[in-house]
Amino acid sequence: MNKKRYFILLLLASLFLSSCRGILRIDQTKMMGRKGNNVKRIVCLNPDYEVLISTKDQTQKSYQKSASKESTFNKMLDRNARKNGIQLQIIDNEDLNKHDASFFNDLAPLKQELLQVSYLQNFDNVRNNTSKFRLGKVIGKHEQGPLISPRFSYLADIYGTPFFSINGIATHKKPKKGKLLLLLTIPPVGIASFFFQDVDTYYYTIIADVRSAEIIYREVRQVNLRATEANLNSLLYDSFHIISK
Amino acid sequence: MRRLTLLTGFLFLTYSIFGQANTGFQGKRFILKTDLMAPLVDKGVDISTEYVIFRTVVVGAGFNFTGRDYKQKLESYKFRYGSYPEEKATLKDFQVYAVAKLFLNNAIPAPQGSYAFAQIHLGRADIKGNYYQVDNVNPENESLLSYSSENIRSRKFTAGFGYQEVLLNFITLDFDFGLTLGALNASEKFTINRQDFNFVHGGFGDRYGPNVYSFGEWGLNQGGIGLTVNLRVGILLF
Repeated sequence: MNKKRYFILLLLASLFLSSCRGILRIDQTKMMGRKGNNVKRIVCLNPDYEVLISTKDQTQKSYQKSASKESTFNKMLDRNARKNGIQLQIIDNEDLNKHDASFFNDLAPLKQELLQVSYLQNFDNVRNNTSKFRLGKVIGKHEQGPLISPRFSYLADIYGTPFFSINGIATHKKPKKGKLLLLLTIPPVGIASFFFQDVDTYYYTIIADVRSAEIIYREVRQVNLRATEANLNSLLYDSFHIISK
Repeated sequence: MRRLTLLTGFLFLTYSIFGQANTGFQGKRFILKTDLMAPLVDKGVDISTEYVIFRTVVVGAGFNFTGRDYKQKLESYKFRYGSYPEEKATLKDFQVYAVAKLFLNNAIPAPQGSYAFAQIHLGRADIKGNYYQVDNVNPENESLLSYSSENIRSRKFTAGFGYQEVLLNFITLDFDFGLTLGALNASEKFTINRQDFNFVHGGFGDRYGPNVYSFGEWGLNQGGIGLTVNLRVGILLF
């Protein structure tokens, strides 16, 4: 009976270890975290969809796959935002022509600024709060967000909202590796793991308030699941649900 | 039935309290499910409902009917005839159950992804089986007698892991795998030729509980310990 017990424990442990898990991290200002935060309309700057494929030797970006999935991603963003009562104005550079100078003069620099600031600055006390982040506690509220240049404040009047966002998906297809523990405990599942590709999907959102010149919301999610329509819908709906409060 | 009503009431109460705070799958939190393994393995029906009460927590309630046949491993019969009797015992079970699931993926909210679960079944069972009456003094008087026992208490507890996928934005496919402990109440009486005897599980109690593989009997209970697999299909209602 003892051998059977060890077998059962090993079986359950291997299932637990092989089960898909994910990471969700949200940093937002206290204003954003309040109920009725007034985020009803957001201008989304050129959503990104990246497909990265890794082999044993290198990682490459698949431009063809990325481009083909971008329009579907835009529709999903729009649909899930609407379901949560948010009006999303998506500005996609695929739909622009050479006369759309405002994108190149105003929005492209804003996107560049948001990415750079988000990379270089943290939310005010994010480092002090790190120890409080436990399983289930994934949302950090801060007094102030990373600061952007105030020169973009005029965009609030042009677009009728001070909220501008960057949204993106990145999927990373990793080389096929089998799961040895599964192979030893549940051979059919273990053998199957050698044939299925390991995929990580990342979703990120950065929202800035150009009037107060700060990033008010930043979110990153990582799941080791494929970017299927069901997975993305679930993920996007949840993200906009948190934003809309 | 009273327990089922209470469990359903509990679900609707939690809906009204927690309903608005959780995402679910695109706002849908209530799932109606049926287990495809029930008719295949247990010759029965299993219907349940589940509700997302927190971001990663799902609770549910359901009921199942089973009508499974068990080969009886009557050792005294085998000793006499060299094999176990061909006649099988039938166990008809009606149980209500409650389940709690903790989804392990924080980035995609319940009810999608992999989860750990615990499930408890409580019910009543009717057994029709065989009992080999041994007579060491006059072996020619030995005989295989049938017995029946009604309304005996049955319990099951399962804990394990599972994975749930949402298809076409409204169908759920839920596979789970766990360790089950089964128990039949041994204090009940059963009847042979209109006489009451203490309950005898008649060589199949070690297989009661798990639905795919039993490791054997556990403790002093008349029930088995083993592996259970379920494959449930459901509809996301609202």
